[in-house]
Amino acid sequence: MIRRAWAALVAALSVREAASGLALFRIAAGAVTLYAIASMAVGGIDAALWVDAAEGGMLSLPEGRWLLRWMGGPTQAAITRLEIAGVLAAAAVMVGAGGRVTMLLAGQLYLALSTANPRVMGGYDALISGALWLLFLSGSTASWSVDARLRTGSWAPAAMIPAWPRYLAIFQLLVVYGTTGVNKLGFPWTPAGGFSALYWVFQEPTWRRFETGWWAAWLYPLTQVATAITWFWEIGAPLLLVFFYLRATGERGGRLRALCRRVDLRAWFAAIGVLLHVGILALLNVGPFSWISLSYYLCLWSPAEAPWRGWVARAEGRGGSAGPQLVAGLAADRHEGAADQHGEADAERDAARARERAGVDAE
Amino acid sequence: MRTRLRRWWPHARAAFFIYHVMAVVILSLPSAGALQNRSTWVTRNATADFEAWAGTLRRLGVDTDGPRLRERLWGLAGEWAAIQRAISRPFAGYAATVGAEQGWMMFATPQRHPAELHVDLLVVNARGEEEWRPLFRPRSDEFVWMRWLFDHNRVRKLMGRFARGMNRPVYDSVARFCGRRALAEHPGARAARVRLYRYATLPPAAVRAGAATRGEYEEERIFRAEEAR
Repeated sequence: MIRRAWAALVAALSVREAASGLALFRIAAGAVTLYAIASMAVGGIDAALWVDAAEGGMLSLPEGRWLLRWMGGPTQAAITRLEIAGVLAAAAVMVGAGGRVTMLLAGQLYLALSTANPRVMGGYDALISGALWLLFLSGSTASWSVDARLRTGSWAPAAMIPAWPRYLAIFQLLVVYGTTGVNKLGFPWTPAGGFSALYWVFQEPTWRRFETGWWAAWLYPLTQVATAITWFWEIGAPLLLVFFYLRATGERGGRLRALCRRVDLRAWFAAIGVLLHVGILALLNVGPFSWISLSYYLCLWSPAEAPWRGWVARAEGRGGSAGPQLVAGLAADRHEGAADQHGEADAERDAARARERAGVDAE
Repeated sequence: MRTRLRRWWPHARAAFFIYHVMAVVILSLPSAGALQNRSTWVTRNATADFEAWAGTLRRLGVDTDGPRLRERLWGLAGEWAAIQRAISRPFAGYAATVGAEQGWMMFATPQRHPAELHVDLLVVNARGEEEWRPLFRPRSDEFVWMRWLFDHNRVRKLMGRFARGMNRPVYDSVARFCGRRALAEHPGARAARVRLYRYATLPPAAVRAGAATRGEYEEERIFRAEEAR
């Protein structure tokens, strides 16, 4: 039993897929990292928050993580150097230059900066550094990158990369929502508290962008509905793992598995999530939390299944010699998108042939 | 050697995958640090939550009240904290090194007793009398001093903490920063005053009826120009 489960896990983690999926995640995460650092530096907010009180900052700060300590601690000079390096590394992540080293460097630079003042860290800091670590593990610069252009002459060759870092990104996203839902034990989040939580959030000034107290009172029933949807959606997020399992084991049959292949639960999950984050972006100032969360959404689908695969195909078609290579990439993806159309064996065979033609297989 | 490595690599990768998944799950559970900060258990917000939960439990036949419920849960939190510390130990170093740290207590309990940071200046008016003039009020379009800083999400987080559990050394440091800066930017001022304005937000019916919040000032810090400069 354990041996069989282990073998299944090893097999599942051996799946490779077109690099365009994680490339999109890389571009989005790089852009958010760039914004998160630049928004501190451009406004001079870094001097108040990331620099020690001895040099004019707001608080007495700890020495920081190894990189900040190595740079001399939370001084203005060290923070400025880290920010410059961080912005450059984030830009390199975005354009896909420097391979895995860039991801690791960007992650360590962001960690050094964001942990300089532990009292002002946000949830988005952990999501950003987590994304950079997963990107380091993935080899996501195999396509849609400067690296790809230098290596193959095409901006978007249909290179193949391991799919398991994308699985970890999905898992991270679902854990974030699931645990934040479980942690919402404040009375107003619950039915017993009248689902009044969002009403109270809009009544106080900590996070709101503008005066929301008055209209929240007039639209109170709407805030209750939004609270209930948010709470149930967050708590239920980990159930999406069951959907992934049932879809991945579709060949075993059964009504539930058939339903999971017919109805893409991810689309509903993502639709609610996007609405929630658009609401947050419009009404509350919680930094780039929504942007980095939405970046993770790009990992919910494999490149072969993604609703935006047509757009990707067109974009890759413009990238010079990417046409046949793209076909190779999509066909080689062992997920349901390919299997749905041709059957898994056909997809595998197509993939092997196309790979042979394209001669691209980036580890 | 290469063949052996190729054979073992999928297994090593699967082991790492499981380790990372376990790290994410275990570190995302409520941490000892978050649970054992006593000041967050005794805020007005937390007290109101305990009272409300105790009321619900009483309706279900459980004999309890707010303070008793709080102490019972405080005890359980202590026990959980010991377990959490032990099970997170194998993962904490990895997560801190690679940036896979967790902790997702976002909007866990909405603040219904906010504490706003207010900054005032003591100036001499046209009649030659000293008077306090507002310099900064959160989200105000009139008193907008250093709004570029106070509106940033990280500063919002810091300010929100004063309502969730007062840390006096941190508050003193913030107040000193604001007081000194206000005096440096307004050389004519005689003093700067930093206070927290604490009030209870109102239920929907009261807001619709046009009622205004009533609060009180606390944690007042005054910085005289001659001492601060």
